[in-house]
Amino acid sequence: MLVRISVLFVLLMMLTAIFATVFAPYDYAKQNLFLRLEPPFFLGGSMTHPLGTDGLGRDILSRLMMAIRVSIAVALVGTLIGAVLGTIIGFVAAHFRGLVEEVIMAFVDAQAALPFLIIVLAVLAFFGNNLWLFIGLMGIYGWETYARLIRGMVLSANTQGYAMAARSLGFSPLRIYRRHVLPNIFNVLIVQFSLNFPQTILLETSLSFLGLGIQAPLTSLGEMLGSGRDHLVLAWWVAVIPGIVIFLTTMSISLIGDWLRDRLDPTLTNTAQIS
Amino acid sequence: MTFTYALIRSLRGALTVLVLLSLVFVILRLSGDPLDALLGDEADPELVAYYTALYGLDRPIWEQYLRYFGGLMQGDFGFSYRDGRDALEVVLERVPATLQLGLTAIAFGLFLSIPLGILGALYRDSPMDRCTMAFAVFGFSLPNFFLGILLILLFTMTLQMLPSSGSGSWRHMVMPVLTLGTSSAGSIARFARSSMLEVLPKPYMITAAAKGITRPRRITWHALPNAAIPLVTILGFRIGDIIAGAVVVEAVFAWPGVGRLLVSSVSSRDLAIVQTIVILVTLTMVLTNLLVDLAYGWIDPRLRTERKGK
Repeated sequence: MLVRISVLFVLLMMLTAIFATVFAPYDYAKQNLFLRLEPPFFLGGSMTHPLGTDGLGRDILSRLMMAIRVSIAVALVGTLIGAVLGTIIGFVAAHFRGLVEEVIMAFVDAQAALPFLIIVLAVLAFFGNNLWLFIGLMGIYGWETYARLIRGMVLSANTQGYAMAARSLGFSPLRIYRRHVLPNIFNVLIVQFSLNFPQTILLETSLSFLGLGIQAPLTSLGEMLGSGRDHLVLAWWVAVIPGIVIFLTTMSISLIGDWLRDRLDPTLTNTAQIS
Repeated sequence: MTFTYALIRSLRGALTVLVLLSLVFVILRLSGDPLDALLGDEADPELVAYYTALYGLDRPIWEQYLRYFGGLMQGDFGFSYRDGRDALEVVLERVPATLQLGLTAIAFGLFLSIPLGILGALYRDSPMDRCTMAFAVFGFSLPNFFLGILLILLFTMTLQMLPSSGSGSWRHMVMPVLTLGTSSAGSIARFARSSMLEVLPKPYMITAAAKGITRPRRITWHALPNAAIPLVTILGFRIGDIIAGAVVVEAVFAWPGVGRLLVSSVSSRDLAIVQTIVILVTLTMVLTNLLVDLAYGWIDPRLRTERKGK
């Protein structure tokens, strides 16, 4: 039941992200300084701005849709980059073993030794902020989890019958990994992806909230919340509405992820909780 | 625990620190000419030449790398250009505030999460258990900056009980500690629950019941110590979460700690401060994980003999 509602909610978020500019009643960046901090309809506001307006008189509903698009897109692209990168590196480590594996694992340890938020902040300080660097950083987040996981899975797969059978048929390693090993460990990848995705959303929104992630005039859920903080006294809804959307989105994806994990991979239950 | 094991673990930790410090050096050099930041684009060529020689920027890269390490070893972390003071000094001033916040939050988080986890496991599938799981999901999904804002709305705006920013009295600490503690408490509660669930059906628990030991005594003396062992590791992992969480929470409540210093230094690109904080966090994390790993063998005698056997 809970999972079904979660799936519906995530679908709604995805549709909003895709059709943000179609659904939005106004331009998300259009200001109207005569209509600042209008309340939403359930607090006595009018339906011209159903969720009210922010400190610059911009329509909150339109901004929210755009923010959902940006936050979901950044997190999705980031998680995908991390998954692909980590998977490839995991395969490389498991295939070459020896020194290559040692070096890769040293980097895995190094990244795991620092909270990723600190790494991102440091890189942004050194290079200055720009959108592509920021998305790239979201992609680096989590690669080490995939690399460690995939390395272990591939090492054990290599000793199993089907991989040996394929090898003795003379198939190239690349073909064995792609056609035989990868489909066998794909479930684990999907589960890890669903666990990583909400964390990437939280990372992006935290950074944007601090004013160090997505920069105005572009918006994201974290940026909306961060700028809404200045109006807490007069208009609490400006900050609370995007906050609720972040909370519901991450919670729905986490619930779906937990459900997937129980379904697809009973062996993972403990290790995933540790990490 | 054998001496060799401790030695290997320490060396691995040192290697991790080395890799990270090298990365900092590489990023530092990739991010542009340090003199541009110091002197500006249209500086006097003589001045540029003077500073190039002074900082050894005309030397081969490996020599700069060694000098960089030499400097760090002697506590030379560079100068904060905003403060004009030693970067290490500026950062260390902020450490007590962050420690105060972080340690109280950990204590609060444990106080909240461990009983919840244990009760959830003891009364599995009861409403109590469902509360534990709901709390875990809640703690995991609710962003700490949003929780902080909700608390400000409740305690400062509506009830007018607590100050929303600053430090100095216990009333300033309540909301930051609640915020930081709750976020890590969720996953700890869940972990405590599952580790308790693993212990409860063990043969020694059945033996204890067969000997006629009462249930409260069985749980406190037989189940809890065994369930606590894996919890020690998770605390090592959570240190990272607490540090990252402190950065955000300090920004929300204007808490004068290292996290807030980091955020403002990133905005103004005060690189020496950022570098110093990164190095200190690295050392803290690696040392904590090392201690947790070593403590593991001390807490669990079974591991000691296993490791000796190897």
